[in-house]
Amino acid sequence: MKPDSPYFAETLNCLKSSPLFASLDDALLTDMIGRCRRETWKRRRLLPMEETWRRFHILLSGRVRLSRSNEETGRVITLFLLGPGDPFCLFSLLDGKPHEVMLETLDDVSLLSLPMEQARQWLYDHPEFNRALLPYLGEKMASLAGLAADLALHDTEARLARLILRHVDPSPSRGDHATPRLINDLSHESLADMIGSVRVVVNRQLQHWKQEGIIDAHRGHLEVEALQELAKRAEELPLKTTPTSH
Amino acid sequence: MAVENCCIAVFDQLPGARAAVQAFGGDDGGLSVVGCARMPGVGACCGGGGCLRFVGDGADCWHVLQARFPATALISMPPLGMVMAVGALAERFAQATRTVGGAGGGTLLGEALYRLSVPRESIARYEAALRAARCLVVIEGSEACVADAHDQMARGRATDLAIHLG
Repeated sequence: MKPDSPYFAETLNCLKSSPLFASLDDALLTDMIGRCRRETWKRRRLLPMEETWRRFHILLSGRVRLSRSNEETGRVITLFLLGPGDPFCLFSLLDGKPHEVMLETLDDVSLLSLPMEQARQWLYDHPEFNRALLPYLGEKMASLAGLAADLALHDTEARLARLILRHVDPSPSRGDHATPRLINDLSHESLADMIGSVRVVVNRQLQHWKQEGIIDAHRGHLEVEALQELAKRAEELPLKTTPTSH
Repeated sequence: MAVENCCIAVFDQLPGARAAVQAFGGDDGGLSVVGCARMPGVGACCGGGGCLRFVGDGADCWHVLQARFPATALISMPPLGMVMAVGALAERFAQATRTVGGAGGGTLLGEALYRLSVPRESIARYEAALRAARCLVVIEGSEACVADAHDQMARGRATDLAIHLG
């Protein structure tokens, strides 16, 4: 993308808001954007990673889900839910191999794309990007560890509560109220895929919480009405305070 | 099966688009150029035998493009005004005007681009570019084809270049 593109300024702003790219200076980001091409993908685009791993992508708008599934049972587990500023696939960037992951766009998305070798070279050439990558990777690993622990250690109610809390930024001005980010308008089936459950169970749990006044859900919009009570259901009191998209 | 991918390049001026089209080494079947009568010094009229003739300063460019493609169209598309197109999209516009039914509230161009997997937000920007007297080069085809087209268009003077995949 050229600097005179009408999309350049918003692309730069998106990267500056990303945990991975925020610490890089404008000149470096401009160089990186200049090496990328701009793409849009339609909603519900479903791709095995074998088809995308040769290019490095940075999401600019919309959401992408990375998941794995069992073809025999049809069950799906969402590994990552990516939002603006998130790259994929980091694993392929690191080891140069495809991974058994399914990619699905949940919205119409726009993204930057460049060949994986160029992204890797950029990583070698710019230690500051390398430095920013390490904590980002750490956060991703912690997210995967959290998912594994949730699946092994908590029941469905706690897992769903923990999922919602991970996507809430507590705001003192809103007291016990909060609006989850990224997962807000997801279907109950998609929420179930994120906690290793099924749609009917998630639906029943949300209805139950709604009756208890813990959440308000209508037309796919989810509002937390009693944050502290939800934290109790999560079986751990501390709320997540660091902003993260996963 | 319908093609659902495209690469779109926006050019400030028609000569830039013409040069990019002339240098294009891919299949012409999926190639189109779209402009608007707001482009300075360009207009069009029906010549003898129903043949479309362009007039004004930019006419030469359009005639060069017209000679390369089997289809040319000049269609009123409010609020864009008179839209001129050559290539695959011109053919599609002509077909659309012959069929009963609307374009779902959008322009013919918008609907055609939407079928090529261009998001609504991007369509609005492309239409704004046309209203600002810019022109579009659209290449539709397989994912590999539009990726190749992108690389070719990147060598030209496009101010904006993007791939839209379905």
